[in-house]
Amino acid sequence: MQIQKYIYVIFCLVVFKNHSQNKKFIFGNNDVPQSLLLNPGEEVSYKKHIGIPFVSGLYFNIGSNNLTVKDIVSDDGVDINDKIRNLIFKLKSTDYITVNEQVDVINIGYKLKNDKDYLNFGFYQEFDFVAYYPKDLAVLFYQGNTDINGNIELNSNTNFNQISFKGQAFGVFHAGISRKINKRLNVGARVKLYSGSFNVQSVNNKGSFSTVLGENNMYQHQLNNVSFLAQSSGILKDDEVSFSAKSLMSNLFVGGNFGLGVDVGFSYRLNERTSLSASALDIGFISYSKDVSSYSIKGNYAFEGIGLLFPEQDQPISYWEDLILDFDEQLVREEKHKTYISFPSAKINAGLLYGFGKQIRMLSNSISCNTNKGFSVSKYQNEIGAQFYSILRPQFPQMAATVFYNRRLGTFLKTKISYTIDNYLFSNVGFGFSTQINKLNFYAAVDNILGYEDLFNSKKTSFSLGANLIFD
Amino acid sequence: MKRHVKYLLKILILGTVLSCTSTIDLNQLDTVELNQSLTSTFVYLKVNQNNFLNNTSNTELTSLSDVSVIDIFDSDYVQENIITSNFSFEIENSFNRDFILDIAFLNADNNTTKSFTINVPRNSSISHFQSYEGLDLLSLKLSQKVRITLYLQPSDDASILTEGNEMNFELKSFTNFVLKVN
Repeated sequence: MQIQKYIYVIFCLVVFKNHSQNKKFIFGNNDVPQSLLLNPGEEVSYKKHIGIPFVSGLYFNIGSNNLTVKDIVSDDGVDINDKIRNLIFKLKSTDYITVNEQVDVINIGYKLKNDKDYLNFGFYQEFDFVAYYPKDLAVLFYQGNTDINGNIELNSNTNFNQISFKGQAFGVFHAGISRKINKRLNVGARVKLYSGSFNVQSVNNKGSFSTVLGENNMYQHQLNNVSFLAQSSGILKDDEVSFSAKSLMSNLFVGGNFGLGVDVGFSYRLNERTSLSASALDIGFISYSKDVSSYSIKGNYAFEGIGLLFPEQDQPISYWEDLILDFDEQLVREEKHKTYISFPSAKINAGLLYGFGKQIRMLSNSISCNTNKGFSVSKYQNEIGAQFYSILRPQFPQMAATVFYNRRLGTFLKTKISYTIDNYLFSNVGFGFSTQINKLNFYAAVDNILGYEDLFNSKKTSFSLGANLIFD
Repeated sequence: MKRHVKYLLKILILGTVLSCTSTIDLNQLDTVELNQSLTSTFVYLKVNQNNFLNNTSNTELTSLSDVSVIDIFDSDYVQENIITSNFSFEIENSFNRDFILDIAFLNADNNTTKSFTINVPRNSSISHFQSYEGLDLLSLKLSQKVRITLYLQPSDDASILTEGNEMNFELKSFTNFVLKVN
């Protein structure tokens, strides 16, 4: 029971709300080659780049809105059970935990001789997990179906649609092209071949549990319109756990769970100072067929108790056995091993950028390209802008809006400070920088820097960093 | 260049200094406990005077009895964490006769683990609440079946039941388990 208890507490501790994968520092920052992964139509001013393997792009994100580690385990003299109780009822079924991690393993790009197309390709690994807080079930588990005054919760539904989670790890082989259409417009696309390592998901569940006044007995318990499905791949084989570090790594490359996806994007110069860019990422699917397992429950069931019939002597009625049989007939449970489709979380990024102040010529190649026709490839010392981000999640899209200010310190350093607002967090200030030392390009960014004042009281933690070699 | 490197270092140092943590006490996790109160519908029955008539011998049955398996104590989770087991009964008796209701919990060998009786007067509606804790609960936890016996008490004037003039004895019940998980 200790384990169950700790799992429960840990779950409570990590019910987070955030906007995973919102790499606001990298999007629109074409000093960093990884910006092409966020917008394949990003304008590129250098001739080629090579990401330093495994460190060209590291990203990790976890966050919260109204909950911190401190809320539960701070040494404040308040009984932890009171804190947990408040938490159980405070959190909403729309709250969720999300964890996202990405490692850019190989990333290479080069400009074709036509000086218009920038080809780029590589391989990255990603883990993404989202699980919503199943509030009704949590309350049912926490206090049972009876309140602290001993009254049964009549007519209140425990909704199974709140059970919603999806986690997957996959490798992505990708190849993209960014084409300069004219002086204003740059468009791009990327094709992705996914290799799913493992997946576990249960989404679009339906049904409810409730207790009402009975006809023959005091109460009737009901399972109404239950439709539950949980699927997994790469985790179970012949009812045994098949997941291991070895299988995780090998499946990332050629695991047998293949999928396809595309990214598209563009950047458009409205005038010399203003540009607009947008992208749609991970529009695709992964077909899971290796070590797949799915478990489903469907049906309705109503239970009023054991109705005694007082049969003749020596003719006992197997009430309990009949009950189990009826339950199994009414509520059909099936385990299958069939291929299924899962969708990576599609994302949309958009940004508007306005440059002002003095212009800085970034790369020697750019100098020759500097035109006098109104559109310079040189960059402004100051930039302000706004970004929009959205990611499709099982229950509803998550969105965030960011305003930012960029400041260049010579050709050496670019800094960015951002303020992001979403439905839950209103104090998210981020900071990042990218630097170019000879051919070495390095960048790092942290989100919610105010939270670093006290990590245990932080509602969101996110960082990204990477290193590349850029040749102009 | 040097100036910029210093600038970067300052940012990193500032970030490190500002990154701190408040005091937390993970030992609190050892005191976490869950208090669950689970209410479930239990047994029910409805009999009339015909159930007590022996049509072949034209005599009255003095009792009706039935047994059902109840698997509620089979769970390790319940066995380990239950602290109270309550049973609530609502009885309506429209017979012009008194009843004694005997409720016995039995183990796998049909030996009684716990039992209690309820006196049900004629033409009455009564409630009964039975609670088990401590040592009584330890015995109850050995139960795998419940046996309910309805004893029909003799009439004051020695008359017996007849088929006409319908009379009912109705029992409804639910059980409440209180569990403390720590």
